[in-house]
Amino acid sequence: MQPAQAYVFTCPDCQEEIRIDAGMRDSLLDSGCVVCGAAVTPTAFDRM
Amino acid sequence: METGIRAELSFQDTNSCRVAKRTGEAGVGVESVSRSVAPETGRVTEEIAVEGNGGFEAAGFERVFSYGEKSIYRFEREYGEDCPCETVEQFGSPVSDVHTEDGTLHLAVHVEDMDELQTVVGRVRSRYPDVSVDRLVRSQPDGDTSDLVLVNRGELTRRQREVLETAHAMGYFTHPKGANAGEVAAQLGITTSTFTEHLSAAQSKLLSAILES
Repeated sequence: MQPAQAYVFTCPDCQEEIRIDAGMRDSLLDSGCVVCGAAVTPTAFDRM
Repeated sequence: METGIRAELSFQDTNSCRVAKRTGEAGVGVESVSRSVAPETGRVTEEIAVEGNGGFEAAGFERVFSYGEKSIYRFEREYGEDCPCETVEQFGSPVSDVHTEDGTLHLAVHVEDMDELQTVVGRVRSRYPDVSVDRLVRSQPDGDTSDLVLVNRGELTRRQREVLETAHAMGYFTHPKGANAGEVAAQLGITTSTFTEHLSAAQSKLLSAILES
């Protein structure tokens, strides 16, 4: 069974660290940080 | 098609939750927390499942049921007290998977979209500044769900779950291994043989759930 791709998102503005899946990565890139609303770029994600 | 989001939140060392506060004082965990509201009186009954003692009766919790090492306790309170779960539920989404560990309250909430998630997180954080967003998962409606099985993680004891989580986090199950049994056991403060016993028992339960469904 292939596990879903997982990332750690670190907000460049508020520094919140959140474990996410690939679907949420796209949502955060589109909508910004869920905590502070800051714009998000691909550099905010590290693969777990 | 818009898909929903599961958000897992944690409230650190909150004194506003009696259950979390008690687990912080006792250094224990509560596996589940559920609530009901009496329509006539508006009073809230909270019910918790605990493994071991934890001094809950001395702290005013009433024990209503026991099975093995687990006990169910209850207490009553007024609705509208400073309660993180009720604060989250003000936005229309019931909390789920509520549990506490060493003073920290963990819960999950499911929302429709990013707008709703940002609203919930923003308003909850305005009341509880220490709330953390631990994990976010976007549902995948196109995934193949024809072979799903239900795995009840409650079948695992708290120790078995801790052993699995630690072994997983240290890379014990990866290839090549990120850690061997001795290293994981040392991290847990137990012997290698105790680690392998817990691990074997946990794996047996999980495999039974997956393969015998």
